[in-house]
Amino acid sequence: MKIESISLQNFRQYIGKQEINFSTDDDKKVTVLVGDNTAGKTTLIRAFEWCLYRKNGFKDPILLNKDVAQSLEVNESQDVIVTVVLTNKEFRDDELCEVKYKIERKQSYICTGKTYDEKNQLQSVITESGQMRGSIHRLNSDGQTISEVESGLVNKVIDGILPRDLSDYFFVTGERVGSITDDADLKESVRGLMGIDVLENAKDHLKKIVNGYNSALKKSGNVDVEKAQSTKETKQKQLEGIEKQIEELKDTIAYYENEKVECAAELKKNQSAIDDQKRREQLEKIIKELESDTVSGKAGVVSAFSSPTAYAFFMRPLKKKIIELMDKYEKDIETVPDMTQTSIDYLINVRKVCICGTHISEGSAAHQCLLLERKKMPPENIGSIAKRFKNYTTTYIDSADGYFGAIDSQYKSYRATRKQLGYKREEKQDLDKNIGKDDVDIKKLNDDYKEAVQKLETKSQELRKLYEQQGSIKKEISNCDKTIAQFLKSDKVNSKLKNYLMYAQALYTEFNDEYMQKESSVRKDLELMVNSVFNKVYHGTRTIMINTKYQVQYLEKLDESDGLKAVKNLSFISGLIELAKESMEESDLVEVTEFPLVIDAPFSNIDGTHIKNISTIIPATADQVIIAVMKEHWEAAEKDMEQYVGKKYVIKKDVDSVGKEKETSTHVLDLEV
Amino acid sequence: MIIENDELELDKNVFNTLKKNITQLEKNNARDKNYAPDELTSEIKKRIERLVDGN
Repeated sequence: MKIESISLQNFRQYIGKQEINFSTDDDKKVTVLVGDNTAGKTTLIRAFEWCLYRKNGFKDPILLNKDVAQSLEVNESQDVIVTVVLTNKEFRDDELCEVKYKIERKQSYICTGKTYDEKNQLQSVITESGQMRGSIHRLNSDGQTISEVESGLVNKVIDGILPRDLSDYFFVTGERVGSITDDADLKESVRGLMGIDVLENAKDHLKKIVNGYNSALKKSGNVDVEKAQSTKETKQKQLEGIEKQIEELKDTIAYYENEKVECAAELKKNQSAIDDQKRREQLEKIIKELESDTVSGKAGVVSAFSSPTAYAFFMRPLKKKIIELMDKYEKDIETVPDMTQTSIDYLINVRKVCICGTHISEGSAAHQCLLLERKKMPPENIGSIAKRFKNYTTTYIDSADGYFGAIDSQYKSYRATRKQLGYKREEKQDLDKNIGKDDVDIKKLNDDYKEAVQKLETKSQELRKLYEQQGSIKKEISNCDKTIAQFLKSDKVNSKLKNYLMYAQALYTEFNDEYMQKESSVRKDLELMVNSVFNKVYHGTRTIMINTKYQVQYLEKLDESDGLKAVKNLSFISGLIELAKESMEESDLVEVTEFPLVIDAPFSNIDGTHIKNISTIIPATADQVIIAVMKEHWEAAEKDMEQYVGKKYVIKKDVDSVGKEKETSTHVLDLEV
Repeated sequence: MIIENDELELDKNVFNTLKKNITQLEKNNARDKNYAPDELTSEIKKRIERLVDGN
């Protein structure tokens, strides 16, 4: 499909009747419309949308030009008309021919009164008069009407040429370039564009025909054939059920595949948060151990302070002082240990012989020595006891020798544990803050990922089982077919019907197989195609994914600039068009052979690199490009696009009597290319 | 697949023409909505019978 022209009559600021002819040349495929802000570039795109799809994207829904509205007398009416002429390559009577369509949308407005506004100026009160009307005429090459589409079918026919659901991809306003991937479910539209609906309808019609022939055949009298027919019908019902289940399971699997990919991407994106959470778990364990060590360390220190050795340790200074004092009187207390004055008296007075064997006579040196020694002994002298006390004290002091080292080491260890505990608690607090800031539930993500993997496995197993059942039922049906075919071959009564049935059956199988194959591959093929375009113009490492609703997303959920968004979305459009063309070449199923792209302000908020990328994508994407841009943006893109430009216009606001630009009227001026 | 099955004795040309015709009918109807579903079934049936009969 190529757009030849658009004609606007009193549509918003396009005052009067204005017509723009677009370039339909295969090489010079671009028509450029350059205009300042609010000159009417976006209005032009909206005129296409209103004419083709009845979309009215204006805040003020009155489409009638304000100057025209103002000039209306009470009860006077005026029409707003937009006419789009397009050519579409279609098969007519088995011939590929170019069909011209004139699509017209009309709405009448009536002035119901006059009123003064806040500036005290008289204004017309305008309302719609009657229903919005649409018409389509098929024209010959001279522009003469061949036929008119029935009014009730106008919108359906437009949908057949370019589906309304996909219109956002072909008529793109500036603000939509960046947000084209909205919530719309594009599945049905993409199926239509790829010709899957044609296959589905064909197989459904053929199935009815096969069933009709089967019922019409006269098989009575042949038990085997009747049995085969009955079995076949039962098995076909089972097969339908299984095929329905297969389709549902495929959707479910696609959903979980999507979930798996999204969770994996999200987990990858949140790798640092995952690491933080793992570290936090480790820290929680370490902190618990350290807290336990602190408690036991503290108990150990307290216990060490309560032990007898502690008393020995703490009494050491006192006892050392005692020993020092005792050392001063060493000579005075130096005596034979454990002897008393009674023992000496016994030696002198009873035994009269010393222990060493010396005779003790009064006045002898030995006697004198013993008397001297007797004076140091108890009970007269405590020297011996003191000596014993000193020895005991020394031993007691020695017993606390290791105590300080032990308690010192124990206490240091306790302090070190507490310090360590403090550090770990601080580290955990920092992690808590970080994890809280990201607000990502990694556990849930992990659980979702695991669930998706598990479901995928389960559902894939179920699908394999269903395929096995499907194969087995098909085999049974095939056996029944053989029995029936054998009968029909030998049967003369049904000779005509049997031929029809065989063809209808073979055609049904052919369309059904092709339908099943295409239905399962189209989303993957589209994804490959879009990525192929995207990778040509984007030099990063991102990957585009098409979800089950055929919406375009990044595999990695990362921030993207407006320019990159535009590149991504235009890659999707390009991929969609390429795949549709490929599909058409392969199977003759897709009617649309040429695709236009009508785009407003694709370069707004975009840096130089992306302007260049988009200037490369746009002419490569579509068979016809109608692009509305601001002058400065066109200057940036012109170098890459000028070779494709076939027609060029300026959209210019009209000026009033004093040369001031008017907001209410604009004109399109043709420029030489 | 079925065309090659001798037992069914299908004429490959007839089969291919029918396939093309049905595809075209479905495509045109997706675009023009000329037929209601049941009408299209009848039209396809007619085409099959006409071509198989050699008309």
